[in-house]
Amino acid sequence: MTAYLLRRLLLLPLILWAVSFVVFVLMRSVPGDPADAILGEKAPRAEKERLRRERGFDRPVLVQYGIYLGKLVRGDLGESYKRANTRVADEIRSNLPPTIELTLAAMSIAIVLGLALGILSAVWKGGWVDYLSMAVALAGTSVPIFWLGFLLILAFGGFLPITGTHGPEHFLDPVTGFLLVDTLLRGNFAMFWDVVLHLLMPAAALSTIPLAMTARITRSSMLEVLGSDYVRTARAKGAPPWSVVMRHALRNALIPIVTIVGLEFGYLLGGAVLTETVFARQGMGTFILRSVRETEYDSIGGAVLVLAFTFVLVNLLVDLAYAFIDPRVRYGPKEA
Amino acid sequence: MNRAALLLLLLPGCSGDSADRGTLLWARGFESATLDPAEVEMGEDAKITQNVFEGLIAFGDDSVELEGRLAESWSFSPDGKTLTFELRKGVTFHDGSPFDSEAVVFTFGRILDPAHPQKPKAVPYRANFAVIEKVAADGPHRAVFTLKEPSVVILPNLALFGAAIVPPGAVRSLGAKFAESPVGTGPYRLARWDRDLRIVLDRWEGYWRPKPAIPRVIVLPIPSPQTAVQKLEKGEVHVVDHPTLADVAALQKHPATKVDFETSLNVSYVAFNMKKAPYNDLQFRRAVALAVDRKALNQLAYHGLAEPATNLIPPAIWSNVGPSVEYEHNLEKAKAALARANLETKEVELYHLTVARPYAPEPGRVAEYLKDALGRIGLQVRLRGFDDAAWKQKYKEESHPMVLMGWNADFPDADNFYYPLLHGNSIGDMNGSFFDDPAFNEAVRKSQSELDPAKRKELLLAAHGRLRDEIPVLPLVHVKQLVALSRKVNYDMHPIEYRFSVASFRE
Repeated sequence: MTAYLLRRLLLLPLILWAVSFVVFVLMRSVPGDPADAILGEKAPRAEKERLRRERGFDRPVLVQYGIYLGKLVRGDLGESYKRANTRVADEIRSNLPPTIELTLAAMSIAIVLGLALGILSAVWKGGWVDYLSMAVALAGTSVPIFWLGFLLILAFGGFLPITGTHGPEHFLDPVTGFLLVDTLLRGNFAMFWDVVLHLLMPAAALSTIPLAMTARITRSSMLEVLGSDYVRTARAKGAPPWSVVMRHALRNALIPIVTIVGLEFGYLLGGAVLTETVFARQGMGTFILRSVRETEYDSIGGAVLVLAFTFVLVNLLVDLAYAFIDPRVRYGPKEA
Repeated sequence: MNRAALLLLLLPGCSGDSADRGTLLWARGFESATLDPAEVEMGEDAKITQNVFEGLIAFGDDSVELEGRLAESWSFSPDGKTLTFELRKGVTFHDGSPFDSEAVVFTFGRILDPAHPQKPKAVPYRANFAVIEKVAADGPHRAVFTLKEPSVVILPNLALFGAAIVPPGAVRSLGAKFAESPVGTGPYRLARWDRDLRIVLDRWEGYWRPKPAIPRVIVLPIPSPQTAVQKLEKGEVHVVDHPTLADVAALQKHPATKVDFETSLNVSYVAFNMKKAPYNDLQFRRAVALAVDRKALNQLAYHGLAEPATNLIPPAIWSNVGPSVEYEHNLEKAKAALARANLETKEVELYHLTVARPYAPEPGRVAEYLKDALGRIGLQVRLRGFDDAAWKQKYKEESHPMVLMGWNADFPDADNFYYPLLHGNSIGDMNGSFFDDPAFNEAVRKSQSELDPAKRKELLLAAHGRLRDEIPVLPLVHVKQLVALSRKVNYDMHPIEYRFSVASFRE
């Protein structure tokens, strides 16, 4: 187990290096010029040339990458070209927590409702619950987030705040950066509640696709398990029906579900880009979008690295979770 | 969740009514990058610095005319190479330090000298001030600008956000942090800046002019205009400064919202590549010019919210120079001109940007209209859309055909259109047609230093005549500027700046 964990962790820097290289080269091979973003399209060529020389944008891409990698190894993600006094690491530190909060909120909705729908439709296969929940699942995967976002705003705007992470007139000095945590730590309960309200619509919009996927996977996985011999045995020995479903069947059906949930996490981080834009929330999505618009190469690189890191880490956690869910799963050499 | 919480959830308007507390909530498209006026490149940055800082010269209330602000008056020497400002006395910066000639010298030192000890991170508008040789103090209340050559256009440039006066003491002590903790003499001071979240401006109680009605303004970035408009309709913000033209009709009908329009200082135009056939053929360009019906274009691509162009220069600026002459729309004449053109094929190309701009909120629709209009005289137009970066690449290769471009004036003067867009010196920058006409170049160059208004008009009219004859660019429309407002708010747009100080809440 430990050896497996170590091997996976050792692989991590290699993956991050590859990601950083791909992002760096890709960003510089598409048209775009930070000098334009910094000085504006109206600035004369000579000024732009001077800036390129000053900042080293005129050097060969591989040389630039070498310099970038050198800083990266020392834990320096770089500095914004244009923004006053802004280190990329600080930008990520303030933008990552809201995205994680949004992702976790969406994830919770997706898992709870997805599992419920999946289990119900498996238990009453072919009944109206089954058709209804699968229709919901189908709609969930087909409806684009930005469109659903607007529908939600039209339907619930006025009851729920439409955009942002919290009302503009709430003030808070950050502790951890996580608003739900910080508001409680500071004892600002009015703002905590405000943050929760601001989270509901975007989390609901973001949750639809993972919810649908979870529901479908749960359904098929449960159907398979419900038809197996040990479930029949459990029923035959007189175990209460719901105990059979939840204890005997669900636990055995969980492995594919957990796999999907892990993959969904990556999807959610990507989907957060759209959701955050529609709901004008602070977060990695709006940060990346803004950085692309402003040709902030280092910011984009840093953001993608952090997201890749998170993704790899979550997948590792999912793999480890298998062992807890299913005692038969063991990592490492089979000596027994 | 307990029952009280649930109840609260269902209560409308949890956000509270900020009218009572005197806070104006202002929604815009994007976040600021810097608040150091010398570093400002984009409108979103200027939107804040214009309210925090002041320049020597300012644009008048609701006009593009120049008036003194931190300068009480100014005068040119007879040779036009010395510009002297009498400075206003008794004005203090937000940090309590006095405004004087040292601040003026310091401000322009930072802008002009790339090796200044307190140099900004970048100075996007340095070229606008390049004509200044040096700035010196003559006593505490007089500043003397020595110019490399006589220049009229330096005056409107000094009214730009980039020429705002900064306090030497604060810049020295704050260093690079000045860009996030700006200190000016303007009506609002920065109270708080939560990056990517909001900028909070508080009324400066020591302001030397009449103080703003609203004590606090919170500026919020909301990228999607649709979302921002929804927020406005639900009463969550008071102002949305980036509504789309398509939203206007609904906003005007909605009981809670209204729209304020302002004259435009922009232009949308077609530039012909004068280095490439058939676009370098005058008869071809004449045919295209005659085929365009600007009234139809306005309805089809601008929701009727633009002014058909009679000139590259918007009427608010051109009215000081000369008369406006409508472009002729005549398909028969267009076909005749096309017949005289030396065409190898009837297939031509039109490039356009795909990104929305103030002068082209829906560039694709404009391109589609032109395709249709030129189709009526027998031309087959192939449209190609580009983003900014891809277009710049094409421009460098000098391979583009005709292209849909646009321009937003930095300062309200004909020169700010003619020089950057059409002068030979601007080839490689923004001169998209590679127009390099000696007569035009000379007229424009001379007009920049002609101090006599009557003679200057003549020069500008001569330049204008060259454009009418040669048609290197075909002006289409000027798009009105607009903001969407809550009906609770009074706000009158200024042609150039966003001035929070004119906003007030309705009683």
